[in-house]
Amino acid sequence: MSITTENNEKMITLMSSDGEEFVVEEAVAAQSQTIKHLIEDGCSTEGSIPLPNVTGRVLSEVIQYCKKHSSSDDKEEKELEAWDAEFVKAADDHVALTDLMMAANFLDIKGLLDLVAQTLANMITGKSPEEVRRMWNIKNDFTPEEAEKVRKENQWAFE
Amino acid sequence: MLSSDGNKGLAWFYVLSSLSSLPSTWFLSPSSDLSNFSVDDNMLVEILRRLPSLQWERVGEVVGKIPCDFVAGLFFNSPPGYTPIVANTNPYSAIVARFSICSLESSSRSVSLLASMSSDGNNKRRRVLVPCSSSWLPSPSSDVSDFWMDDYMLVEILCRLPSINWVVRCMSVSKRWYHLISSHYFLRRFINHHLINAANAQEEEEEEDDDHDSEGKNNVLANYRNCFFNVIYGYTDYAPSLPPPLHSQRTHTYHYRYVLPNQDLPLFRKLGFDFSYLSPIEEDFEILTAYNDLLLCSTHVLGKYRQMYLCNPFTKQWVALPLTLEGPGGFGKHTGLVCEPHCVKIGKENEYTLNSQYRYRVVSIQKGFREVATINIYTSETGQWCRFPLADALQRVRNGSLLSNVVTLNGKLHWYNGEVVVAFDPFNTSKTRFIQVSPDIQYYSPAGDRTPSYSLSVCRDSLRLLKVHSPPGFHCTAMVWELKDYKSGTWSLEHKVNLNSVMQEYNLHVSGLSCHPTDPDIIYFMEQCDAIHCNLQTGEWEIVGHIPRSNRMTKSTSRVLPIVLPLWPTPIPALPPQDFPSV
Repeated sequence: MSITTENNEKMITLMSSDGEEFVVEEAVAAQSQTIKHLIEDGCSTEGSIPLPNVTGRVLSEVIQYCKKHSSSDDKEEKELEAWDAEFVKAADDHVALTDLMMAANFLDIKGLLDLVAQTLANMITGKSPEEVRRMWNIKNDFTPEEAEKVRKENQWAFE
Repeated sequence: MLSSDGNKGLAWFYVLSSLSSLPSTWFLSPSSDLSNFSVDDNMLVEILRRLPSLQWERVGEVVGKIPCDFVAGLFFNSPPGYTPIVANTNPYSAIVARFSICSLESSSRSVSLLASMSSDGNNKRRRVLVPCSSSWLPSPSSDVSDFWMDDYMLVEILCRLPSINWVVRCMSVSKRWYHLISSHYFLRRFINHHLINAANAQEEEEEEDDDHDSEGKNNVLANYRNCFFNVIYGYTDYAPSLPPPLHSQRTHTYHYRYVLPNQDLPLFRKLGFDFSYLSPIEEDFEILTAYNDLLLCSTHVLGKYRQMYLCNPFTKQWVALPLTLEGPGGFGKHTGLVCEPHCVKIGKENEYTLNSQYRYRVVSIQKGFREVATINIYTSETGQWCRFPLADALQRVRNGSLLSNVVTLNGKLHWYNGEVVVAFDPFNTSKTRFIQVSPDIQYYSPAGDRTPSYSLSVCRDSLRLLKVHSPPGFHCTAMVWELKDYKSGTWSLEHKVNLNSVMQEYNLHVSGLSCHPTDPDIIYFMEQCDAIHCNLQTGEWEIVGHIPRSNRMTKSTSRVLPIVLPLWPTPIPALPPQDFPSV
């Protein structure tokens, strides 16, 4: 279903995994390479584009990002950087960021993937393996002997 | 179904039933035995073969090569919802294929597969639909506990960690993280990410350099290759051993010790350069030379032989080279190590790959008093030492010794012999050339004059010659030249500083000169027993290391070794197999 606004902007409807519909300008949606290719393939004419991996909450954040980045040009680079920093700050915790990154990966939005991956990397930096495990609820599946071997092998990085 | 519609964007193809046998995570590294993965390779080949709409001539070539040239990491993993397959098929043709299954259409029992391939920087993407039986679709329940995101994304996060310390620490998190970080794919991603960032930062810095000169310079170390470095001062202290060992002619025990001026860098703080892992260490342990993060060490064996070790003090990997006879004039200052780059740029794009079987040469130039200088070269491919007399032109060495240390740049060894800078190519000795120096560099020795100290260093990929001279009755002057144009041999004088006015309370009998590898204003040297860090631009200096006075160092064995840690520690290739022991 393509709707056209007063200024002849083509509108695209995106449907999240939980059935929420978002109507956005094509230029905004095309920030996502995945959606762009679906549009090129003519998939958008038949109705809303289903995005089975992205929940409405995450999708609204992604659209927020895409809107900002489709309306800004290169001259506002500094301002955009500040906006990005605020944007990931608002995402609050690593769980939300992980969801956001999965969506960015699925939708193939390089800028957003870079931004979120770097934010998560910054979160890991300075943490001990134990803290990283707690952060993501990862099970330590090394046996004590294996853990000791890995620790010995990489001793220099801990000093 | 759809293919008959003539819908060009969509291509149907059938994936082999072997898809269902794919393990959830698997890797290929160059050292893997490919035969173990033949089924999976075939599967990938089949997928690539069945992308008719892509129409890339080069894909065909690569597909044909995959079973033997399948080098880089390739992983497949299936969290619920979508599945990326990342396949770096061949680092030399730089074709990268990435598939992500972006939606599941269970009614038609097919998945929509996004294939993106880049060839020579042209990104092309096509969506293809893959019908399949539902049996291989990933089940949500997985035995991997930390299945919170797929490998592709985890790599994207971990490759953005600021340095390898943090990456290596993360190996302890879980087995999955360990394997992921150990993979060749991760290594390439990490290095590419950081080198490209460093290159971009460098460009930006250069753009801004005109307006914010001082600001740019403060960030040099942070931006330039993101490297850690240190200058090692090694010295031998000796004490009479009581009683002298019966089997030895020597009456002293030697200890080799180090002064590390850059103690505040985290990697060097506690490292201490413990070589106890090199065994057995006999007498006269010395670090002969450094190349990036590799050190070449040696000990005496049975009086007249030398045992050399190539080691990486960070990873503690090492290899013992075959024994070699000690030639006249000893080792030390005139030993050089040349390695092919471990990290190789491929293609025009900023894409890097790793060459873990790089070739290297150890070169030792020896000259005794009034003897013909000889050159002893170790070849990594053959595992053999080869000794031959130094060519006549290279014989132009004043006072029976080289005047400067030996440094490695562009795969060649360089030293200053009092007249010219010799650029010796141990991979092709016929390519050796001489770089002329300007007259004020040249060494003259009028009667009673104190010999100037010369040191060659590499700073930001350029050769630098540092000369400190204190003629009788004149000030002690430090001069730094940079070789601006390697081909034409054009030098430019970067600094000329009166060290007496900078360090007034010192007598200045400097030794152990070295330039900073990335900051063009900073030099290191030894003044008596102190290691000095001095900024020639601002005149600021400080004592950064100290040799205890009780251990009088013997000047002849002091060594300056700039050690630079690259983005990823350099591995040490195994020695080639030998049929007979070579001595």
